[in-house]
Amino acid sequence: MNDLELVRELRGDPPDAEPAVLLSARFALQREMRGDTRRPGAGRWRLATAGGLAALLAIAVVVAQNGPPAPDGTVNDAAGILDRAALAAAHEPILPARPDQYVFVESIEGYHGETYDCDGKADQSHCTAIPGPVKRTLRQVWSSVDGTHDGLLRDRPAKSTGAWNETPIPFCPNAATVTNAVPGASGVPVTNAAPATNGARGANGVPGTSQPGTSQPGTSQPGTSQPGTSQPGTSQPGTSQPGTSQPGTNQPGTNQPANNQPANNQPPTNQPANNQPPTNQPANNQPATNQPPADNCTPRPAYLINLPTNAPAMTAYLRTKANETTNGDLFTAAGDLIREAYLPPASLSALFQALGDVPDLAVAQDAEDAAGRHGVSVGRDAHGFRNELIFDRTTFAYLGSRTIARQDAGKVTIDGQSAQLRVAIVDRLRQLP
Amino acid sequence: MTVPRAVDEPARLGPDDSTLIRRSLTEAEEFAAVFDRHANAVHRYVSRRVGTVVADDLTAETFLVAFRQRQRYDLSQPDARPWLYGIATNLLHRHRRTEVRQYRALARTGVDPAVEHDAERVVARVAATTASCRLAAVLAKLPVGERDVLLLIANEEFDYADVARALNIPIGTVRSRLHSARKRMRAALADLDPRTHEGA
Repeated sequence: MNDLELVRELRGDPPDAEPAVLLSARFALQREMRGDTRRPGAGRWRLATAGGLAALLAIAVVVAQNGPPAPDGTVNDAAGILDRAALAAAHEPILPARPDQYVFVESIEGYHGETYDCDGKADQSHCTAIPGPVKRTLRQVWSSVDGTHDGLLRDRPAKSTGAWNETPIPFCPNAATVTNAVPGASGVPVTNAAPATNGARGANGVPGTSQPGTSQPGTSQPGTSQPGTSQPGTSQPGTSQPGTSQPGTNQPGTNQPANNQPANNQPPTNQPANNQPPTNQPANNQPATNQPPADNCTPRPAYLINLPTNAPAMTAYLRTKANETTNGDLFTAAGDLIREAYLPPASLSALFQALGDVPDLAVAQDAEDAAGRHGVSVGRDAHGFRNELIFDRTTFAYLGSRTIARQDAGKVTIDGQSAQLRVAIVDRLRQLP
Repeated sequence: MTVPRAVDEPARLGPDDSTLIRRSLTEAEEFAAVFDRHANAVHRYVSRRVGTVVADDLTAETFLVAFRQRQRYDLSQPDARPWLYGIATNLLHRHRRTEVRQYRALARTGVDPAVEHDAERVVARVAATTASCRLAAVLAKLPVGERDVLLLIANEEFDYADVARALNIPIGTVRSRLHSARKRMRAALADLDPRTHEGA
């Protein structure tokens, strides 16, 4: 051993940096890169107290607090969890794909459901929700990578080994049908999105309010129960089973009685009005309004290669999506985007980072997904529900989501759950990875 | 010891550092990739000099400084490591007293204060040898410029050119500082096992 080796041996190899330390450093750098000096120091989170959010202070005890991850390594603030999730996502290998292939996603949806008692007291301004039994469905979805091929959804009760219920996802079900297409749809990044307006908020809880952008994959409409509209076709007349098709991924307002309306009970004809594609548009319930005519066959890629790869651009993109489809709720829009599509690591990472900037996030240290896996969740209250994304407690990989219904007297029930089991690229429909 | 989530593993993939830094001049967020590549290494370098507590802060600071100074990066250099280590070394000078104090303590007690909070490592380090105590004493007394050169070469396996870049000194100065530092070490270790001071 020479003298230089002795020097090296003197202290040996230091322990690797704690991941939390590197994350903290990385996010300090990112704040610098964004030129954001409003949040100096390590703490990057604060309660939003402005503008009508004071009511949410009731949940302040569980809202993420200032500060970096705790010294013992546990991460118990929402921003910290999302930071870790972002880092985990960034280090996943990219799944290469050709345009003619399919994004395969296998998941379990658990739908607890509700029925409604709207009779009773005369002056009652709302219906009483009665929790329903849990139904778990195993879903396998093949969605065209470039969005120009027909896809397929098949599902069956999670514990069944019986026949699949197959639902085609036509790329272009009826070229004559008028529907709407929006710029920025289908994975085209919207980088110059206007600042969030509350334009969509006026539609809160109003089922069937027509909004642009409903033909985008991975989005859902308020007042409908279709989260995964990247599985278009599932609500098509004659193929879907009302009440069972899209459990588990409820959007704000999705459990409104509107779900019990016979939206899908129209006769399975091929009339254009019923062949509204894929997106469970309110047009099924109501006459379409404000919907500009457009090409029905706009590609809806499931391989979202063109999404933003940095947090500010992703925030802008989500904001646009959210205003179009989820009453302005970024968090819900993000959940819809990732649930049954493929986001490359950089975009998925940016998405989790973007969510870290959403105000009023709540953490649950023990959240169970539809497959029974326990993790930590980050969620946001919106319209009487809390939509949560669940992450593995140690790897911070995305596991699934759940929706909690907050009921009277603080009683909380699990309303829906999902679990993402496999995501892969395959060559053919019905091919398993 | 668990390796953290491979922060510097993807280093061999993708564009080289100068490309990333050039892009970051217009797209600031590109600089994050430089961090992902080198943060762990910078942390280890600082940690080896003054312990993990200082390293935790100084790593973040190094990259903030680097980001702010990225216009000054020599784009003909594909590898940003020497530049980053140079920034870290400058920041380390604020902790010179801490560093010297640690070496002194190590020389006197055989226990390294920089790592004493880590029980496992203390056990391993208790078996301090006479050589390591003397070496610590030399390191404590080394002029800071010599210590910088010595530790970059011994611990980080930099070559002369890398050190010259990191410390912004001529290669000749690197050579003479290293020579001087090694002469001191050999003198301190001369009466021990002759294998400890064979030439290099």
